Amino acid sequence: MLLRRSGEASERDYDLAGMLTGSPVGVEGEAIFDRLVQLTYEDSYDALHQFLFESKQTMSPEKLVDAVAIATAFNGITKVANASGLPLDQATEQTTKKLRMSSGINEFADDLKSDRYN
Amino acid sequence: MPRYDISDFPRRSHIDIAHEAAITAYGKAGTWLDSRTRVKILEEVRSARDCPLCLEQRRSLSPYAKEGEHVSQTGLDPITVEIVHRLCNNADRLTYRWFESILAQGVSAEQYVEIVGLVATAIIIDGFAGALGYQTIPAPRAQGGVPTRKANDKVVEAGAWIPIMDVENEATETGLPKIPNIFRAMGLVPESVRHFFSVMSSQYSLTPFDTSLDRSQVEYIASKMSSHNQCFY
Repeated sequence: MLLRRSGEASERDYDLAGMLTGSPVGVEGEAIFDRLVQLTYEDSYDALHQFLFESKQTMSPEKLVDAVAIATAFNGITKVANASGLPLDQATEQTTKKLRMSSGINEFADDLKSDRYN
Repeated sequence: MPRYDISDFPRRSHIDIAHEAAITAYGKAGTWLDSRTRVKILEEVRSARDCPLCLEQRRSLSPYAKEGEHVSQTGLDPITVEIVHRLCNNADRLTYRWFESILAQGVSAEQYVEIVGLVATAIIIDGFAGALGYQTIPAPRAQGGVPTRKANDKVVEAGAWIPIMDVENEATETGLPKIPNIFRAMGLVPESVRHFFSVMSSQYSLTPFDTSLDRSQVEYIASKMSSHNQCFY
């Protein structure tokens, strides 16, 4: 959700539906981040090391390490959110209604998961 | 596959310090769990990724269709093992019914929160080390001591599975509340909030922090990882 705010602040228009569909969103370096996040999520460390090593030709090691820091942090904090059935903050819910529908994030709502998986 | 040594990639020292301190804290008695249990939970997180049952559940259309026993060598009770393994390997498909079943087996909401915090913290610390080719920080020795069992009554029902921290809230210029729900989620156990965010905030903040990435890149990575985890929040 903060990516939307970030776009507003920098006057850039991001295609947020791409967060779930895989189409380009418009963030610099996103192809590298996509792969980095996927390999981090899968704990595929050998493949990740190879990818980081190769990616330092196009992105600085400092940025790659900082990207790993964000990815691993959110791999942890999403566990807290998922494990607590946490609702959106009221203000966020009101301001992101259309965005959540268009991006498909609503599919991850806890009541829908309960219907789907139980 | 050739091995690539990336251990010379530059790491930020404040992250290392935060991780060391957080791992040390596993060896101390918590609010509801004793030190031995806390250390075992750390060890369980470290072995859970190889659990065959979790792998089967992960491959299933519903992770609740596959029953069996998780592979565990820590001696933790089966309910705690179930919580740890679900969080490590199938957290994207947790349901309220599963949560209810955990409480029905005698785990208190406070114990559950403390376990969740310990698991999530370990996932961050070990994930960071593994991703950058470092050895994991060794599990500490359990130091004994007695859990404080200090309940926090400053919590409120806010639509989550568990009561969350009760705070006076106000919106910031980002449109988000000053204290977002994710910070309040483990409010039943304030020490879990402190422990988890001592690590989380060393790597990410809503306000400007040490990073070479611009805000859009930070939020892109965060959003992508949230998407992999099917995180509605």
